[in-house]
Amino acid sequence: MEAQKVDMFVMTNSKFFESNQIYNIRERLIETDDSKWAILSATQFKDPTTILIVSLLAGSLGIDRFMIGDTGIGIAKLLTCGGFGIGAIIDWFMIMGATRAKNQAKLEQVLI
Amino acid sequence: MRRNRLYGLLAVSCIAGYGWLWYQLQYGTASGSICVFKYMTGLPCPSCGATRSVLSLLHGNFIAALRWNPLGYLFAAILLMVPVWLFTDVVFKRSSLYQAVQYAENIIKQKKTAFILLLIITANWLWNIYKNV
Repeated sequence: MEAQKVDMFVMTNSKFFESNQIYNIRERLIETDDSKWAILSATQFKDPTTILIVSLLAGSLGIDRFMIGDTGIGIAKLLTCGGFGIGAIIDWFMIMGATRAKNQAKLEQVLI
Repeated sequence: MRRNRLYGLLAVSCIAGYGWLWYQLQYGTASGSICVFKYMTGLPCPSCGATRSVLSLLHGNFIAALRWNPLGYLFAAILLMVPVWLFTDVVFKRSSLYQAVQYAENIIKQKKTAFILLLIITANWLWNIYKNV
């Protein structure tokens, strides 16, 4: 892809990924074929900040985990008062990283 | 999630579950709740009463267990089944539990089953609020 397009994508979407991955993503996108651009620009990523707010408010019901697609952990949190109360608190700190990892996986799926 | 991560998480949860049960048996259920949701809103969460339900099961009161929270039966089944399954999987270096969890997750992700489960949990929650567990 053209460097200009890639830079635009990285600039608008950098908050969805781990900062140490940004450089990798840029390199991969430049190597990728131009035909992926349409599907790539239409892909929706989850905002870590939004998920964090959900986690703070409804984390003990597991809603945050359901939102990023971790259904198993979501059900476990829902059925145990947020992982015996401790799991919900741990997730306040883990959920942003988990969201970024999910976004990364989604990007990989698009690029393959 | 990879296999070892899931197994570690399950092992920690089972140990926590058994530890919590032991604590409740030792000091009685009057020692207080840990439910964050209950402390914040004053309403019971969907699984409040599950500990008392499992404790009733331990004492053989099956009807009392159902009245506290039907989810107690699910917890009792998980607490009995998962450690054995986990142990045999680790010993024989298989991943049947991991595959089973992934299979279940895929079924639950379907809209129809998710909706039915949501209805059941919500109904149970409303009953919990009505009972004021």
